[in-house]
Amino acid sequence: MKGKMKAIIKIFLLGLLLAGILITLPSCWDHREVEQLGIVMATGVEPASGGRVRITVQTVNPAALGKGATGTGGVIAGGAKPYRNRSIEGDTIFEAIRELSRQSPRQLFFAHNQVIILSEKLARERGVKEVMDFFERNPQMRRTTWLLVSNREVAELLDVSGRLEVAPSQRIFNIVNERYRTSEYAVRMVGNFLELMESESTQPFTAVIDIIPNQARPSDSRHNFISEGQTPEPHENLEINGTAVFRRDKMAGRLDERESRGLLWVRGEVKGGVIEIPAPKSEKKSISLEILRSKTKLEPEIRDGQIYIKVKIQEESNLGETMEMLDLTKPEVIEELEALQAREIQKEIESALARAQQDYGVDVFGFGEAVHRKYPGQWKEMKKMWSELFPGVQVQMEVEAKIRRSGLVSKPVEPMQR
Amino acid sequence: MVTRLLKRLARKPSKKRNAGQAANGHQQPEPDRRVYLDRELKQMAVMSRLEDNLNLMKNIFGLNNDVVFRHFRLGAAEQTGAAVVYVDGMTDNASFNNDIMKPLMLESRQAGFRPAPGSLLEWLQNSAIPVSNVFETGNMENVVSSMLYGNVILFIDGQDKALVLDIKNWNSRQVSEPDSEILVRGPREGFVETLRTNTSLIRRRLRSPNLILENIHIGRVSHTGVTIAYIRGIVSPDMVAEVKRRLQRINIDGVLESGYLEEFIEDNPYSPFPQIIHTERPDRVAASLLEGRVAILTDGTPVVLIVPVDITAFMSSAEDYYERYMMGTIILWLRFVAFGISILLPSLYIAITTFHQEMIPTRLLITLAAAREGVPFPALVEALLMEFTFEALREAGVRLPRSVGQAVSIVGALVIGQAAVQAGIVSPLMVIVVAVTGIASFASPAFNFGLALRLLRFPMMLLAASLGLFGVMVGILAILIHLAGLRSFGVPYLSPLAPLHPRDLKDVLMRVPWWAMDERPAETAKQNRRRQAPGLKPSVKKPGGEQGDRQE
Repeated sequence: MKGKMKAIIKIFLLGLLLAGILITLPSCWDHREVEQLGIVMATGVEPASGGRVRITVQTVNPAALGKGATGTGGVIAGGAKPYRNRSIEGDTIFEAIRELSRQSPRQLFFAHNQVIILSEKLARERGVKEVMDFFERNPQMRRTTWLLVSNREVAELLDVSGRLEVAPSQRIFNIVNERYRTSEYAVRMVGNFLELMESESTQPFTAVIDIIPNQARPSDSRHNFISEGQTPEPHENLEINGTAVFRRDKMAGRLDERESRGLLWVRGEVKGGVIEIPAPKSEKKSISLEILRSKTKLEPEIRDGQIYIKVKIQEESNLGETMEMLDLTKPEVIEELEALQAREIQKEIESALARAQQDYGVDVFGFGEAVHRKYPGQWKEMKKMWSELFPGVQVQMEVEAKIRRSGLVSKPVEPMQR
Repeated sequence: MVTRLLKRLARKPSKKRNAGQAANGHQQPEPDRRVYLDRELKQMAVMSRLEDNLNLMKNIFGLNNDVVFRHFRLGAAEQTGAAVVYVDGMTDNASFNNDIMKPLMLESRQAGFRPAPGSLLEWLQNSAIPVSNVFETGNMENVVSSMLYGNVILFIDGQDKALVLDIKNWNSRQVSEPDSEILVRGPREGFVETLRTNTSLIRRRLRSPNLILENIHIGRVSHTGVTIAYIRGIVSPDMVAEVKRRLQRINIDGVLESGYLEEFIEDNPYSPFPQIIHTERPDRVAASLLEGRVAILTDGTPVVLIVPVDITAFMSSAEDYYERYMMGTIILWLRFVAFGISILLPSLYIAITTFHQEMIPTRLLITLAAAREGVPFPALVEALLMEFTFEALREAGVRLPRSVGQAVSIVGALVIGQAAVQAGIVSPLMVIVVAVTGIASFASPAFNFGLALRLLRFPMMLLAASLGLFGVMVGILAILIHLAGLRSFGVPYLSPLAPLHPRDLKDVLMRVPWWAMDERPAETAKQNRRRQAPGLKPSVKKPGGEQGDRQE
């Protein structure tokens, strides 16, 4: 009985010892508390002299967000900026980021990085392949991070003051998340961008971000905001306008909003936005249609040594606004509008095609892939000279546009007084 | 070995002075020194001289002032001496006076009491004493134990048998709704401390000749009555035999609560998980008996044990079966979620916030970092601090009188909810985590199961703080392996999930309506699985169709 008791005590002590070892020996080697992290929200890469790169990171400053304990949840409490930007130069991005730890009291944590901004200068002159390696390799970097190009200085871009969001990075992130409101720029995540870089035919592209003057700022200076206890509207706003297209890893040029949507139509990525069509009777008046959904099908065909691509688009929209009197109870009015809409979509595509085929000569549409899929045998020959073949591709369009609903009224309001 | 020890203990006081006189101990002049063992009493017989019997009883009980010795004389000429011995407070006084003393002293004399001496006891039983439960015994052990159970003992001079007259009556709690298992819909009766009342509560619900209530006594000193209840024909006979075997193994001085028995008869004494369910509700016991389980009722406590059980029994409450089945199902799922939360939430919080920040949504991470800004402790210490405070508050709230308890809960709410956060010692998120965990751990209808979860939370937190999610996973696996190996009276604890009995899932993953609950659980009612006729789902019958059904 005594022996048994001793054995039990022994086992118990051994268990205690093991538990102690388990807890102390690994010593939580990768343990880090949340407040020790410098949460990076945006990273910018710019070229620096001598083949070096200049890195700008934006970290949030949680303390300035108003402590959860006492704070009322206001975004900016006590005027302290809720974010901090730091820049440093280095031979590689990795080295530069490590160098940053000499400035930053907190361990930089990239898993929540939401946007990567590449300087246009870097993209045009040096190409992005050397910097993309870091974003592909580092385990903390997500492939779902948005990639943007800008010709502005990153430090300036990441310091445009805002009101609604914690930091400019979040603002950019949220603007990108609203991309289907307009479908006027084609933005890529890091992962998709890398896939495009690796593609045999399709060239990479992504959206361009810029700083524009804030139109909502009052022009006269009668207001004295400070004495009224109110901060004035900031001078500048962030805006994503257009798309940067790349030839291999170097930026070839830009597509404007209209051309960008043309690109998205062909790629079948238009999921919203507004199409403006001229009113059937008076050219100067406009009608706005809200895109509901669209579907695109590419049908390549090789005939007599010529590559044809048929772009079939099915689109549905709602009537959003009309400046002209329209009687929507008549089907023929709607049919007319649908035809105008299809024509407008065609025009948008044509503008994108003209830019990509004639000006830049880069296949951002994925025509090469469509040909590859249909003619895998001939593609082996074609892929070597696809960049020469692409400008000569004949594109035929078949747009089927439908108007589904017309909002709350079928006849617009008209003054009835005589 | 144990009996030898007991013998030694029993003899110790009398060893020096009274060595060798144990055999005829009743003649000892020092009644207070002598220890009477059941074994010795069994060997003693009721003697024919009244004086001898009374002397013995006085030696045994003489020092007690609640044992009453009442001498009187029987017969027309008051020629026969007699005495009743009983424990005051355990008998019905009115009945004692009217049904025993009055007939014996007055009515028997008026009736012209002249029986032959040999048939005296028989005559008394047959014709004189109007008490329902009367028997005669010649054994002192019977006499003593009957008296201690509240019976009246009648010794008569010249008779070597004593009469045991059952007019037991003592104060006991009224049958009322048990505080620990309150239902909105369902019977309001709960078990009380009296075994006989409890058995009647069960019998009233199951009026079947096959409901068996077997009695055994456990406890050398307490002689606690323990009743094993089961339904013959549904229960597996092996199960009953096993329950009896385990109960009879117990050799303890006293059983004051069924918790004593629980620890003696469970399969794995080292598990934090309860392997026996306990309840104070007779309806729940009846439902379990109908499923082929065995109930163990213990005298002196309203808590009845039910064996065997599986883990799902701790997830269900009696009300699930009284309320509409859809609600029952939803509430069942809610409990499963709460079960997960109460084990995992604090450890997941620790693991994710200290090792896997990339898993937190960005905005939440920023909020979290803002909340933790300035908190001086790592998340683990913070969590342990709060959990400790919560558990201490809970404990204080349970034990304190209601009026003080309120004050404690106010202080607790202020200290935990406000002051600690404002002082910057803990983050508000941790308060939420601890509060949600606390609430979730009470969502289990079985209090003892909730206790196990609360206990396991702490090692899980340590694992999470040292190894992150990997540690949490290790912990979950360890618990799962343990549960998979656990058995309750041979029934796998995780059944019917593992081993899988797909048909029993109707009562585990959801609560199907009664008309679909055609079969009893496979593990407990192996040989008699059908509970009800099939196809009882109510439906609108075509006219005439019902008649046809009836004719069948």
